[in-house]
Amino acid sequence: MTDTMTAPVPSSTTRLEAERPQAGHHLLQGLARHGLPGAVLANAALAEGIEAHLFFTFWGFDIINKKTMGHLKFSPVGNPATHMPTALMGLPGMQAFATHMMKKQIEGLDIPEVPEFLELITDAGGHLWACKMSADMMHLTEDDLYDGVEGIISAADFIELSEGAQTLFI
Amino acid sequence: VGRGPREGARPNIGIDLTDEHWKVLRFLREDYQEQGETATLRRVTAVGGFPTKELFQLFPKKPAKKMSYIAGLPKPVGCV
Repeated sequence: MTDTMTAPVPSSTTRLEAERPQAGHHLLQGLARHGLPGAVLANAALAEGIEAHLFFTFWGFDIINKKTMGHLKFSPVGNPATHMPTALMGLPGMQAFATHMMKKQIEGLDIPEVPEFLELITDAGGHLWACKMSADMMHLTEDDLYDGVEGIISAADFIELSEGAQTLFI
Repeated sequence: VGRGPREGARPNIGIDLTDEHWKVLRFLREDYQEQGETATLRRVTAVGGFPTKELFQLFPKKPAKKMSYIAGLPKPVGCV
């Protein structure tokens, strides 16, 4: 033992035991059209050794639709985080402007954009699912969706999948 | 800079360190010296060139925390 270096000192708040009984699941939908909040949370859960499933429903389909996922928009309408009068946010060009500003901030923080983020999540062992009813309504099949999406499943399937888990509706 | 526990040493969290582990650990330590903070998982992938999948295989379940722990560095503070 004498010729070994000093042992690493763990931070007192670091937990290295990853085994947890419950799986964490995230339900991703709707308002967060650019997909970032759900992706950040899923990625954080996976890094903590917690299972994560993302279930994409109606508006969330833009995030996994091959045609739209490369140019998602950040909607400033009714979004209090912009600190701007709501009446202005609906004007032509505001969405593009807000998206541009958001992208600049994201790049500055070295956060991956959504397509790369989804790859990060699946590489980390996360699961992506698409909602059957939404797919039917939008006339989309698995071929139209990002390759990392494991399947198109019903709401009941997702309820079963997420039983006992922490579910977030985003 | 020393290389921490010598090759063959067992860091007591159930991981036997192989050359592949050491490559990652060396990157973490060098990067820490340059940047002054522990690389996030994404940085280890993007800058160090280690694929995310591989990191989850080498340091199962909690790669970011396990890597920094074994490397003797503070856990990374970034969210991604």
